[in-house]
Amino acid sequence: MPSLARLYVKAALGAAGRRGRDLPAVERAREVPVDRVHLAEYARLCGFPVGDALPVTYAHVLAFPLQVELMAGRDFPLPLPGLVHVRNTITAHRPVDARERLTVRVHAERLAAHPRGAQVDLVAEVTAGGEPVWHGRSTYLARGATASAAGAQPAARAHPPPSQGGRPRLQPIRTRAADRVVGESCGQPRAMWTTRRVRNAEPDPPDPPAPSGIESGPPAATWRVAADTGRRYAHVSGDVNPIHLHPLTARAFGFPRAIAHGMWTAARAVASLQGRLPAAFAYDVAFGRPLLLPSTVELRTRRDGGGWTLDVRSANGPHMAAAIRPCRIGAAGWP
Amino acid sequence: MPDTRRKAAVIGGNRIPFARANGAYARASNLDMLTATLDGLAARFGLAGERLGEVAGGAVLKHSRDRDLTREAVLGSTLSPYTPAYDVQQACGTGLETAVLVANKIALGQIESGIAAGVDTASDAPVALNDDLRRVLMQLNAARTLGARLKALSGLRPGQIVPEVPRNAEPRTGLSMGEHAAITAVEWNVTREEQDELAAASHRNLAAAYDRGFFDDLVTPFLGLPRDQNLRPDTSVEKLAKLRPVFGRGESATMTAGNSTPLTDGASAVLLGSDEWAAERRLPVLAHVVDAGTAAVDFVHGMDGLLTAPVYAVPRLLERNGLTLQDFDFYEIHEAFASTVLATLAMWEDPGFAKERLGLDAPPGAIDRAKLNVVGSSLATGHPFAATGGRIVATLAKLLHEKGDGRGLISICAAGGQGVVAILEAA
Repeated sequence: MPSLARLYVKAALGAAGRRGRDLPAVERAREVPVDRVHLAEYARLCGFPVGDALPVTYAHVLAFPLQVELMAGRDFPLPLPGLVHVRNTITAHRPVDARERLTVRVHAERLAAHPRGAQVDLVAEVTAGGEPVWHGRSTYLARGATASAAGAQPAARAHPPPSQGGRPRLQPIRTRAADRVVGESCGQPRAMWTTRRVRNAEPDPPDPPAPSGIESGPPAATWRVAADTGRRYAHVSGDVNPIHLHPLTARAFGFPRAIAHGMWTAARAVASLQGRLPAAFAYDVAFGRPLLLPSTVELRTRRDGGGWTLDVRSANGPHMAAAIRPCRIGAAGWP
Repeated sequence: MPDTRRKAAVIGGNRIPFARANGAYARASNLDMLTATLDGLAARFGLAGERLGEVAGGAVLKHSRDRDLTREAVLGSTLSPYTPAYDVQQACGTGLETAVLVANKIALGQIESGIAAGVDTASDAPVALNDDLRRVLMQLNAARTLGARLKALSGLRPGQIVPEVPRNAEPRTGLSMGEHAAITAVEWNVTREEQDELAAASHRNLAAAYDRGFFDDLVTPFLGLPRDQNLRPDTSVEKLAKLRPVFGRGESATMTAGNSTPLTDGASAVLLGSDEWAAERRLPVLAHVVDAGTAAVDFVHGMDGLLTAPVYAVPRLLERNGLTLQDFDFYEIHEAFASTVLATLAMWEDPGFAKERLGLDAPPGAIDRAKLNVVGSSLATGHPFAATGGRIVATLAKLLHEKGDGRGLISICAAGGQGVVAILEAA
């Protein structure tokens, strides 16, 4: 996806320049046809079967180009290169077939201070013929968000102290949405939002606690994650963030080696439950330590009621903890 | 264990439409197709989470990574992971052989239910390392010293980059299956016209069966393909007559791409069980498996044609069951090539062949051609080797169920000079 690479370069070049302080109040929407060749490549890389049902994480890569367009804009307050994915919640309201005509809408919300920088949510909603079928919320962290904005901080500073100056003045979580509804039968998924802009909206609720992992016990699987995993996933997903591509480009952002895409890890983990997933479910993933490439990591799974707990860790610590909670089919608690 | 033998019930089937090689399923693996087919069967008969007696499956063209292909498919399916599975490989007889194995275990009371399945892909076929290169790498792997490693590496040659591509040829004769079939066609004077007529009938029958909804509960669309990709409803003897022969030489060459099966991708599965198991789940019983048999012929040094083993298997099966070749309402004779079906029928009608080769006083005789492959066969559907048996078992069981009584004969020829045959009767 050369266009995405171009956007990245543009964003990188503009990273030191002026940028907006608030989130752009725009929503991008596009009808996205499913390309079966691309779908097959994605499925192979992430461990899903090649078939008609879209893997639950696939809509994320359908929405991703729109999210990049949003984030690469000059008015976007955080620098795109180096953004780290820290949490991701997907609600799949029903299985989606590759033949369906899908419309993807994305917007950004909840720009907030984070102990290590600033974070923002990119929200994607997928509808099929007007029916909501999929919802994704990706939380990204700009580590030391200040660095690029002021042009003063060396980009390689991995963990700037929270008090460090020079970052854009962050609103304490901007509210731009209302009418939030919680998917009724999904327990407590993270809040879902309409994209309508509403004045005097209530403050955002805090995220529910992050899923806890599985620290011990025999692994369900051991993965030998190849050094080129980041490049291969970048090719398929269009996420050419340099932290995933090569040790040298990753080092520029404070990582000792290239790191795997969080969404590759999340996809590979949920793919291991092929044939064992409910028809409609929420998949809440909290990313932990970066998965340095290459690595050998362990997957642990545990049945929890009708759902699952998943954990991916290595000698370097936990990389991902996730919860899968079944929903009623079509129980979209979202207008 | 119960001490009475019972007849296994055919409860239903599911397959994905068969696709032409490098067509709709070009990117799907055997595992993808088999898993999707098992999931479709499970969805159709409410088997999600069910522990079945076993799943027997197989593929003819297999990657080395697909050692336990069927078990892997079960693990990726919605069936209970506590369902055991194993792989079978008997060339084009694989699919029917899996059904026979599962049916036999049900008949003996060893299991109450099982799935017989088969899958093949010509698009995602294994391409192996050049054999010389493979030997060098094995030596390198075994080498313990630097000297031994260097010595092994010295065996590398540029030509070794050319891989081994699987060929549709018999290892002992070097002839392709089509070339073998062409020899038999000449031997039995099978004409081009008869072959094209059989091929046209196959397409016509399959198209009509699709149109009347016959396959609605036997086929689940896959990767956007709703029907068999090879099906040409508008083909005719005239159109087929224009094709150039591809097997055989000169005047006697009669076999074309139109009256031979194309390389195909696909998978099929059949649900079998005891009558009690089906009744407990309120599942229909379409037919029962009466008996089955296999035969093999000497096509290398003997006088037999490669694909003629069913010619021997069927009379033996008939004798054992006290039946004649005319005692059937449906004949499902796998159309590897139109000429194979026609040569098989000709051999059964030939008194000399019966006496000298089959050891029978009288030939099995002619069949009513109106009962042959009535909803089309491999010439129209295509023939993903191991998937053909499951397609035919489910199809015949449904035909018998529709009719309400009677019996049907299945005959499938296979590479290696083998054949698998079976008798089903309406439930």
